[in-house]
Amino acid sequence: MSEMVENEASASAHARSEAMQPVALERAMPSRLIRVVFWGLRVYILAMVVAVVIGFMRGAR
Amino acid sequence: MGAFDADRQPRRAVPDGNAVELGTSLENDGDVRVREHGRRTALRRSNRKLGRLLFLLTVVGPGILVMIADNDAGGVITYAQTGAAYGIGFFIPALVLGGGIAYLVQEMTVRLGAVTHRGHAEMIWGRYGPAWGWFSLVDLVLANFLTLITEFIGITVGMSVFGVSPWVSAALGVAVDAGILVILRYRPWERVALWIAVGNLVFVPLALMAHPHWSTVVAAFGRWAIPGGFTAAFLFVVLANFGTTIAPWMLFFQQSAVVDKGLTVDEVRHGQLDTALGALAMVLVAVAIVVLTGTLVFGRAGASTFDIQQLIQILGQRLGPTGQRLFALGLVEAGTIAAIALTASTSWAVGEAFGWPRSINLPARRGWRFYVPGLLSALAAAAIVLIPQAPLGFLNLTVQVVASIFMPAAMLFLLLLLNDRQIMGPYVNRPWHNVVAIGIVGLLVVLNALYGLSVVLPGAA
Repeated sequence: MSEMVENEASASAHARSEAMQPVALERAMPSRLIRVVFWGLRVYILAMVVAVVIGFMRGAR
Repeated sequence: MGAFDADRQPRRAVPDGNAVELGTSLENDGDVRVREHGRRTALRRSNRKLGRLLFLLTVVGPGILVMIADNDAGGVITYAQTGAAYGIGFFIPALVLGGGIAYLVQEMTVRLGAVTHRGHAEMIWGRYGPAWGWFSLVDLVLANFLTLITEFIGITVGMSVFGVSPWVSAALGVAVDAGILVILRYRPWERVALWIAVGNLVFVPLALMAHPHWSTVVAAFGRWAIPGGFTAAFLFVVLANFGTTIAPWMLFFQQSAVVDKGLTVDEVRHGQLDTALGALAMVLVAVAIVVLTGTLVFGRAGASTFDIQQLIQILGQRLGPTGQRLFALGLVEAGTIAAIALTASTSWAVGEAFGWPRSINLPARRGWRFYVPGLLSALAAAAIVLIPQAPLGFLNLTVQVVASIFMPAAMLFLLLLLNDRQIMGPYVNRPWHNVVAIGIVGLLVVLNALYGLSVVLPGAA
């Protein structure tokens, strides 16, 4: 009886552990639209970095 | 659900710092997570009301912590200055709106964490490659470090009201932050942090002590008037308030906390409830601070330029020493809870990026690599606050600039991941979710860009 309970507990723990396994990660293949969005993001980051440099240079003067 | 399981990719063959392994020892972080999940499941299935209440109390944590930690020392100062400068008007409904936005964004991290069992940093790294991974990691660690400095400023300023020297305040702040992170496992760490977070509510009785005109507070929702018209200074305050409502670290923190707690897909609804409760508490506290200074400070000559020391002084004059000490205590609490969250966020993100074992369940000896980045950042931030003549204003400005560059990218990755059916299965964003989320991303991009520009080029915005 106790062996059965133990087995059940062990099976339940394994089921829970399986439910907590991280999903596999593979590189995404972005669509054309997403690639355009990524380029927009790069432009935004670049524009902000340029603004930061200009701003800090003005502040330093 | 079945189709989703069938669609799942095979598990990664390489050793994974977040994988759950059973049966090695009780020191194994995976074992602790599985055991905790079993405990929660037993409570959830309980037929008794007490059991279900205990389940609710057990499952809440990441959502409340992230939202309360967002009312950090910088946030408290921003809200107090907003109330002092503009009174009770435009900003109360704006804060309620901000709370709704924060919920919608953070809820996505609950689903992402519960479905993937991976943190935000490793998801970006794994799905979009090392270039975006490094960009996100460097930005996050830098922004977390600079924000930590502002938290220690809040702690030292608050403790100075009690006559405690900055050295002692900073050392105590680091000791609490590092002590609970290294010594406690995830669940006690979360419980202690939640108890500290309760202290954030101190601003509610303070607002009541101010005896505000409640009719004015209620009327603010109907009118939504801009006090003094739409000026550049007003725009700056709007942007600062939105900037404090939703920050990049929040996405990384909550997702990692959901993973470390071991929430699964059958607990998503409860994670969403946890987040909603946190958003409610965040808005309540933020509104209380605006009501407090909007009632007691607004209208005084030069109120729009008061710094935090001047605000504490005026609150002392109007509310007496008890009110002043309660406000100072709230500031210390806000800095402490945010420091706890930021330190954990840095450790999780670095661990995820490099594939190290990463869990607060890890004993210090086994998980030292996980703890070191967070602890070093807290130590360095506390030390910088103690440097005489440190350029704290410059550091604060840099935090805002880094966040304004980083936030749109972080939001974009969140949206892409939530629409990735390959990993999210049936938990993918619904169309209305995307419409709202894209609106929020657009708003954040515009506001962050304007905020960043107004900080670095004051004449441009």
